[in-house]
Amino acid sequence: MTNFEKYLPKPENILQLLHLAQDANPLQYLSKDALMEVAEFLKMPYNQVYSVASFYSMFSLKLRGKFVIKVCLSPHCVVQGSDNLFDYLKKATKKMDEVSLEACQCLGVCGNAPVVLVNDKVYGNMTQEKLAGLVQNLKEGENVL
Amino acid sequence: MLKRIDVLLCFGSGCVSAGAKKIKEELQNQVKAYDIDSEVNIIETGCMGPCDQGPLMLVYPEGVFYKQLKPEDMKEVVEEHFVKGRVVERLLMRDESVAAKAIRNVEDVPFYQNQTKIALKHCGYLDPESLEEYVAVDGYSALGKVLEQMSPDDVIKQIQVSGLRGRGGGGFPTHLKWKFAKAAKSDDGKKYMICNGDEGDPGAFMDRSLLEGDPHKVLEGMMIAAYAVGACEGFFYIRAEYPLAIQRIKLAIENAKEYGLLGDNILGSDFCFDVEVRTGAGAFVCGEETALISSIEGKRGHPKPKPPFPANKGLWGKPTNINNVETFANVPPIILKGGEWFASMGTQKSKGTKVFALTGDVKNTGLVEVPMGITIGELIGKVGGGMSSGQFKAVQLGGPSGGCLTKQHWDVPIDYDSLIAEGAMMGSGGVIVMNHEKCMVNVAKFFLEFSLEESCGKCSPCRVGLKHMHNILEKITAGKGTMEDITELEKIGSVVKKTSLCGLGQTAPNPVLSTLKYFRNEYEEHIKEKKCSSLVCADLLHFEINKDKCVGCSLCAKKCPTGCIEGSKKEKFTILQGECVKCGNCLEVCPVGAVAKLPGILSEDEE
Repeated sequence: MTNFEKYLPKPENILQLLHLAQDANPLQYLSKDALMEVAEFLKMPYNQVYSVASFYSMFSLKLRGKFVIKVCLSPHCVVQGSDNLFDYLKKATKKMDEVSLEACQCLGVCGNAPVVLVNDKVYGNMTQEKLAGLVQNLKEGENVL
Repeated sequence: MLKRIDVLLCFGSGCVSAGAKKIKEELQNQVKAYDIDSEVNIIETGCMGPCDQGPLMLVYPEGVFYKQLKPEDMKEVVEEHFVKGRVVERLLMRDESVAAKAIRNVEDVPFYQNQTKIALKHCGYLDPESLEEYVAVDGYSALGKVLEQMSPDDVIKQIQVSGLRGRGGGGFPTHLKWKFAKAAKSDDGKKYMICNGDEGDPGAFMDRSLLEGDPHKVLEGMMIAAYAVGACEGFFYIRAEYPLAIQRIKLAIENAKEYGLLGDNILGSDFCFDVEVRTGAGAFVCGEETALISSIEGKRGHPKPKPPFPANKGLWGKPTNINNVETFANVPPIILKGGEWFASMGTQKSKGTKVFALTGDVKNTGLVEVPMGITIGELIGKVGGGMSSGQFKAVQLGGPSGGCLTKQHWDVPIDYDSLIAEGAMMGSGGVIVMNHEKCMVNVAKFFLEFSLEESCGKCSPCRVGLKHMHNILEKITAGKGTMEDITELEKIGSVVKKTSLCGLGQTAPNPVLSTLKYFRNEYEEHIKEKKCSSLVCADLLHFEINKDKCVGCSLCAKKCPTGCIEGSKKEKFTILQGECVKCGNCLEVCPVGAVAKLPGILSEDEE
């Protein structure tokens, strides 16, 4: 059971609670049970919690790996070649259960495009060589470059 | 305690992503190794601006500016500069106009010389996590002035004189927003103040930098606004993609509370104000004010029809004022120096300065602040330092809601009204400079893809219209377009603009419509000649091997994923066009440059 106590059980806190529940899950997603917990805590119908959770792209309702890699596919990063990096990662992480690969929109670090986010760490000025090193480190369980 | 050397390390997200944390660790180690840690003060600051040159370091008292640092450079910097007093030349910025002369002092860096900083003034020069440092640069004195000497009407009057307009993109006069919120009646007297930090425009990152680099300034501006409209509670709504900004603003609020700058009877006055931070969860549409309000209330981020405007019926149905981060950052300087001072900069209808995030094919990318009314040419040529590669083709202003302008707009002043007249938009200030290698149809498609992806789906013009436009663009870039498609695009675009519920849909067709206006020939070329001159659209180009140059090494054939390159050392190699997937591997591996990427499609029989 996630510890929600630092928030008041008010509907307005739902986003913060969902963040909390997702962060608490090592598989980085919101399970049905987690949504139920939030619903119970807020005394809110389950479908309403589901409706909110499914709207926001940062919440995953599907199981994910220990490392979630997000590649920015906004125009600026693509112009700098992030789509190729995405394709590269698709191949490189195919057999890695601990990694989930996702595309995302602008992370606001455009001065250092192309940008890749791994969990909460932003990596700028990425190249295929750097990514290869990063993937290797992830294989060893470390989110560093 | 005053130390001999102050080292400012840029800890904006850009430099952190480029490895600033490792630089700091190594610097600390080296300083210790040379036993001068009692003499060196290492300070983390917000964004210094030239993000592409990061990680950056500024060393005072001299003001020496080091760029593109690597952890292994730290030993040399400490030994040579800190111990022996010799500046490390190779890590300095260079002035390319004067035979790549090294620039020693930060004040001489051309990137900064053409800028006028108001909102960003202290960003990168002070420790954003220290309230004391902010106070040392007149921080919170504008709030003091307001509470002691000015009535709410005086404040609004000053803002009116300054001519400040919303920096989030819309450009609505700030004083009017405040006036409406002040005049609005609330049944229980409650009014809310919201700071919109849900910056999501691809290519724009000024709000992040301000929140990370000078959080107290934004907070102070918000408090002055709250005093003016009579709000007692405030919310920072910041997108969850900006963890550092969230962390810093939370700390700023905490510190301000400790000092009695937030809470009841602030600075001994009757003014009471409290503020909370709310984070988004990855929905671009929440930057629209009514959607943002829905999100704070804990609902799906759906926009609502206006009127009623938030000023009358906003958060939980109460009068609410929403301003952008950058708008708030301009408020304290206006109060301190007066509205006339601010209004002395800029054009007749757009006053003051604007922060732009300059990116793309320009030499200096990063965050810049320039007076309103600067021409596009000056922004790219002077502040941006010109093109980094290729010839200038277009500049995209205002992100997914803006448009592309061309060389013919070189002298157009950048202000709210001129840009709209040309079919672009100020937006939140993202500027993407593009060289001749960019295909405008493809660029338009990308921006539309963004809006399509981020459309909340509530109203059909935006949800269905954008999808339809996107399908047409896919068709055109695949070489299957017809001339009727262009008319269709224009027709749907104008309907989506006119009938969408919120700003997202109302502006989403702009990238397409503006490129149709200024780059119509490119659309026509894609359709009629099945050709992409910029060599971007894979379906409209082909690869060829020049037999005279080919040495028959067979590298290309080995690297070809579909095995469509045939030949021998003697006969040389050829590409079977029908099976080619245009991956470009052959071009990359050819050691003699015999492979060429050419516009247009070749059918197999032509081969």
